[in-house]
Amino acid sequence: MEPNPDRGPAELPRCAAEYIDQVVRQVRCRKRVRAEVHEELRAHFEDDLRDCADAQQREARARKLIEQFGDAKLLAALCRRAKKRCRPLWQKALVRSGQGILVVLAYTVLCSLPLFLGRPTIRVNYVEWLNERWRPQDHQAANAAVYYEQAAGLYVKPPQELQQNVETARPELEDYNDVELGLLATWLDENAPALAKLRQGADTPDYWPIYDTNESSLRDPNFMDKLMDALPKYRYLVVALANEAAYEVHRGRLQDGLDDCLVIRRVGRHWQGRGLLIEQLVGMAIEGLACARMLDILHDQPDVPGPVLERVQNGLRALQDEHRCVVSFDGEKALWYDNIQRTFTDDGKGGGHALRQGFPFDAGDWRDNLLGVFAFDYPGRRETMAMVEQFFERAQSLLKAPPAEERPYLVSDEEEGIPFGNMRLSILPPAYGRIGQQVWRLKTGELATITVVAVLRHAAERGNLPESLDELVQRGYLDALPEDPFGAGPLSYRKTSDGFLLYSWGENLTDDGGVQGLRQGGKPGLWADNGDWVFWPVTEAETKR
Amino acid sequence: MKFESQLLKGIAPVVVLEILSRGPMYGYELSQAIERRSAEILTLGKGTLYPLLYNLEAKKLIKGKWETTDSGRKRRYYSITGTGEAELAGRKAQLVELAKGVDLLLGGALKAAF
Repeated sequence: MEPNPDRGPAELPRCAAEYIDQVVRQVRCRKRVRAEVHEELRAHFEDDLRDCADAQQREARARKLIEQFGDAKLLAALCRRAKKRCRPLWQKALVRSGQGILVVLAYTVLCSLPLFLGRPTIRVNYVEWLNERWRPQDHQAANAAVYYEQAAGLYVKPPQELQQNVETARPELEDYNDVELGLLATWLDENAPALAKLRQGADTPDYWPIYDTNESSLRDPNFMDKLMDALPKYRYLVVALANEAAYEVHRGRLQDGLDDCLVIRRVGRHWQGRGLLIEQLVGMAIEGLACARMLDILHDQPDVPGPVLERVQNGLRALQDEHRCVVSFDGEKALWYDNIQRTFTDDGKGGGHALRQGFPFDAGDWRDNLLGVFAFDYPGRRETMAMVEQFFERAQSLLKAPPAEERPYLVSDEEEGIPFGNMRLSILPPAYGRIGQQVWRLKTGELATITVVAVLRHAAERGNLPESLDELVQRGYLDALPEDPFGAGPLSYRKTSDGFLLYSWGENLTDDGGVQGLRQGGKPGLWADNGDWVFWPVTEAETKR
Repeated sequence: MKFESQLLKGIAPVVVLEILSRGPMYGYELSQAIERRSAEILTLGKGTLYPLLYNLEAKKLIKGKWETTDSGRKRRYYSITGTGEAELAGRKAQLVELAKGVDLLLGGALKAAF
């Protein structure tokens, strides 16, 4: 039976009992060990006092024995030390490990304190900043965004029977039966007010995004949720207009159909180079769709009159601007700045340190930063802001570099402060590289469209195809030779037995003789990684997409 | 003459081991035995007795075991282990050598005393 340390030695004189209690209390070992020490000392006192005749004598003997035992604190310390030595090796190892862990934990807590000390200072409302960023100087200017919003509000969904057919932005009305055509006509009629607003927006010179200032933080999930809710509505509108373009052509109103394509292009163009990245990507997709739709229509109509082509060409020329900003990273930069201002302290002079939520944003390599925490030395707000500035400046410049040229690395040069290991930035380059690719595809598609229209117009007006693209320039059908961003000169053109061939060298930067690349699944199509990108003739597979 | 000094501290483990080599004892009994068998020349401070026992136990030179006496009292009996016996033999040999040296230094005074 284990002795009970809490049982008081009632039969001992009070001074002895108190002495034993004092020693046992200060031994500070486990309960079982204290109980053993207690029992032994008690037994020792009992044995020594056994022969005492009365209480007085017991008291006197007890005091003498206490004196012999000496200072209770010292005795306790000696007992504790000796008892600890009695522990088995595994227990000692366990205790030492525990102590080591505690020390490490304590140091970690100490080092982590700066991540919890201090508060961020919100100085800039970046939602308002975004609203002002692209607003023109002329405050009386109309904003196309307002019309687009109104158009989205007026949009009527297609009937169930038609939904699947009109979902595609490149509808093939030849496959429709009369009932479906009737349903399409009704649906387009219902959407006439929405499409009118869309056209009104497209005809408005200025566009700047307007974000809901009820959300004061770009970090607020509601902010992104609202944006993501709104974007599909614009897609539906554009798809409706693409259907109308197809319907107009089907009814023999070729000019109206092509005009609708130009409207879609202008809508897409509005969304580029401003706002958040996701909106700009939508804008690029819309413009790309307009180019493709236009080529489809021209391909399906063998004899497009010269005046119609001239009108289309003028519309395309008005939009032609090779040096325009397709994608601006200012919105993304604002997101980063907002994150930093909300997750770093601010000393009012540009300095400050990362709080715990800000640590992933911190400049430098995250592994170095983690080690830096233990040395109380990791990059602060100033370095992080500089890193973000530098990163996006390089990302922006990367977009300007044509694919055929050697592109600078977005993230690599340690000495330039944007290391591979930055926790948040390092995940962006692959996506941003892809965006760069899309930008140049879009520009190539635009060049190809305007070139095709010029070739067709030449044929319509002169009765023959040009021998080369140079002829188009010499005769004023093109302002300049369309340089292939993926090639080593102009887009590749040659006459064929049944028309002409126009292509870009494509992603592999190699002239494959105009052989269309194959997409995943083995079907030929535009934008495949291999082969050329053949814009004319439009392949069957392409029109069915 | 009683020794409660540093001199005794050095030989205290030997004394305890020697006493215990003759049979298991509990703390109080051990302290009494040391005084009695050394003709009260050697006395172990009570404050050092139990820490010493715990230390010897940690070194596995002795082992303790709780037992209940007929009167119902619980006592911890200490007995020497095999390791303790070997240690005791070694220490004793050292002490004999030490005594020889001291005796030579003192001109046979130690021998004369015995």
